[in-house]
Amino acid sequence: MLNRMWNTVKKEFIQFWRYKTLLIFTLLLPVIQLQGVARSSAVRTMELPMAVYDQDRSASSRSLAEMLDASDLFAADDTVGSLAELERLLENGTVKAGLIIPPDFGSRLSREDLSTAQMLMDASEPGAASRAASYLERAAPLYAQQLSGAGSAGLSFAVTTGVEPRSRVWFNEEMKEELFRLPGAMASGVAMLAIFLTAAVIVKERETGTLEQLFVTPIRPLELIVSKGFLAMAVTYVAFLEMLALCVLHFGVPLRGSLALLLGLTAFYAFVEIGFGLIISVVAQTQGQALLAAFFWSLLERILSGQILPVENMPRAAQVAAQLAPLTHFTAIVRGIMLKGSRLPDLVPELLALAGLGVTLYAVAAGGLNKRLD
Amino acid sequence: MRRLLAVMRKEFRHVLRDPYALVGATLGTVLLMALLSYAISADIEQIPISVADGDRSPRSRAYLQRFETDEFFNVKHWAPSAADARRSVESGEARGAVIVPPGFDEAALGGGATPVQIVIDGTDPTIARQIQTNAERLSADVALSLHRTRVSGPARGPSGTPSLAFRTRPLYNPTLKELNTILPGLMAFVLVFPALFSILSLVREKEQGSMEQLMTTPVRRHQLLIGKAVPYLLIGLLDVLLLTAVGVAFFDVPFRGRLVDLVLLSSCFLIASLGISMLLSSLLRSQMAALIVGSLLFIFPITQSGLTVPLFAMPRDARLRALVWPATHYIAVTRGIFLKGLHWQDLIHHGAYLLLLGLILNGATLWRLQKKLA
Repeated sequence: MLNRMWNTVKKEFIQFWRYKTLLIFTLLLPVIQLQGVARSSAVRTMELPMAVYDQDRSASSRSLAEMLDASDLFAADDTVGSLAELERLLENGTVKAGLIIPPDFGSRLSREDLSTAQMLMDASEPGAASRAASYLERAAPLYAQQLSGAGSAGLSFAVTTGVEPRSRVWFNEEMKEELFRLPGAMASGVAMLAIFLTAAVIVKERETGTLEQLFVTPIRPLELIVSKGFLAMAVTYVAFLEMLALCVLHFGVPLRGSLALLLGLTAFYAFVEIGFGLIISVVAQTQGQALLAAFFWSLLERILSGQILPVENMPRAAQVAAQLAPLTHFTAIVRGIMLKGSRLPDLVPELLALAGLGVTLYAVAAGGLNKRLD
Repeated sequence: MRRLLAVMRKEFRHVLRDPYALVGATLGTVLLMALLSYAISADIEQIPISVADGDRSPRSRAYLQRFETDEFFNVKHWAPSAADARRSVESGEARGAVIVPPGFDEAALGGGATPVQIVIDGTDPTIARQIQTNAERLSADVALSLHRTRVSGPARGPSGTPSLAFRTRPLYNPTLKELNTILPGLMAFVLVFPALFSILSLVREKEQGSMEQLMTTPVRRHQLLIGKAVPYLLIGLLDVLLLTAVGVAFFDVPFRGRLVDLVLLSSCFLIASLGISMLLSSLLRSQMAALIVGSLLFIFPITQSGLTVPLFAMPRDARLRALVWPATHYIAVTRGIFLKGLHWQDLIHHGAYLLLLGLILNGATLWRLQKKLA
């Protein structure tokens, strides 16, 4: 049996090796992917580009604009002379915020009357807009003190307020976005390759009619499937090692947990995810269908896995669906081991979930396969 | 012209004959977007935290109760000790912990700075930052009311309550609903289905050898290319209409622009993404390779195109790279039309880029086809 399987595995590898284009792409694309994720999430600044429409042109209005510019939430990039111009800049996206200072701003402030400045915000980026709005709410009394000259330079919230929250951030002390995104991108890279390669190779043999030819050889269907899965597994694993090396050595993602544990669990996860590829390949009639189903599932799984919005914030039904996606658990495992230094006992819930999903997936795939062969 | 129509008719028949493909390209697209929108429709709130009250005074309890009533936080756990609260962050049970030290009450009454420790799980920096902002907001609220009870006297002026107020007005998306930005943005990704189908169709002809037969007919190269692409362009436009209808009817996303503009600019986007698939199918030999590479190319930009991280927050090189992807421009287009009600004139630079990219890619394909024959 081992001999037969060995021959099939050899055949698969020779075929894959011969097809250089695919080989190059599977090894090159993860690199491009990680590079892109790392750079685009290396958030330099959350400063909203802001245009100032100063109708007052007094010393106080100027220092208000300067103070906002000096905060790390706004960058006064533009000054405009009319409301229409401000609206145009907001519309075409050049600025994300517009400060309107009314003509009586300075005089009201010196009369100790309530002076109001208006801030227009492009809420088509809701996250940034609401953060800036809550900042303004808190900062208003502080700004008022500084504008009226009562405040000293080093004034902090504590002095004005009395409760001083001191934040301590754990696991990712500098709150670097890329440290969070990269392990996730790595996990979804593994998922995509495992599903695509499995789904495609089996259906391809069926479409070209070589599957029947293989079935008349002494090799058993199950052995054939396992050999095919082995190729997907090996290629995925090589790509994973490549991504891991890049993350740790090049992008500086910490590996706080055990490398051996990560390697072992990745192999286990790839094995589970291959079950999905097997189901797709059993159901699909043509390579096209198989590949599109693989694409559909990869995209859905990636979003369900909590890489865009955390799972606990999803609606109830989506949370349940997320639990059924192996990638959700694997993302938690990779992040846990790399960022938090989780050990095996910490990961038992994820492992159990993966094991349960694996058993189900392979049972379904085997059932479907037997039916097709009859 | 007659030849062109003949190729188109043939391509349409291919599509119609494979009902899976047609259903996949239309309903599949809509289904995928509905699922994705549903999964990420929730705004980030109800973040699980634990609190520890080391002071056990009425004032410290009142302070922590503010966290309990606030919508952003969900107090999962009143920890008996600070160590216990920290442990709940470590285990991942809570995303953060608010720890009030003994002596809170005294310090608050005395008017000094009262340090409160906020421990934050930094694994997901976006959420970490929001926890920090919201904790500061609540603390400032409490501090202000403490301050008011202490300082009785003039309710206004630099020594009392603020004499400066910001009126913030969120434009385009006044409810600050995350889904209103995400859904139009997602269109750029679910619309890749027609492009993927065109890859499959072209490479299948190559695999089966019918491409060579087509080449020997009087059909010219460019007619072949256009005839193959147009049916998928039309399916894509049908998808745009379906997606818009679903977004507006089921997800209450505002649509302030004109449908004509959306169709016009969507055609530019589809020409560009069909250009990618045409070029890929002329370069690659097998359906598997073409689709793996194609779907990777179409999924990549998801984290790099301003869908999740706003463009202005990216470093310069990442922003420039983001502008290469067609998806980045199309996201600007859909958000502009849906939320800002922009007309095509306002978005002409995005449309022009997409069209130019489409022409270059399709031109390159044509050149490849010609060369292959020579």
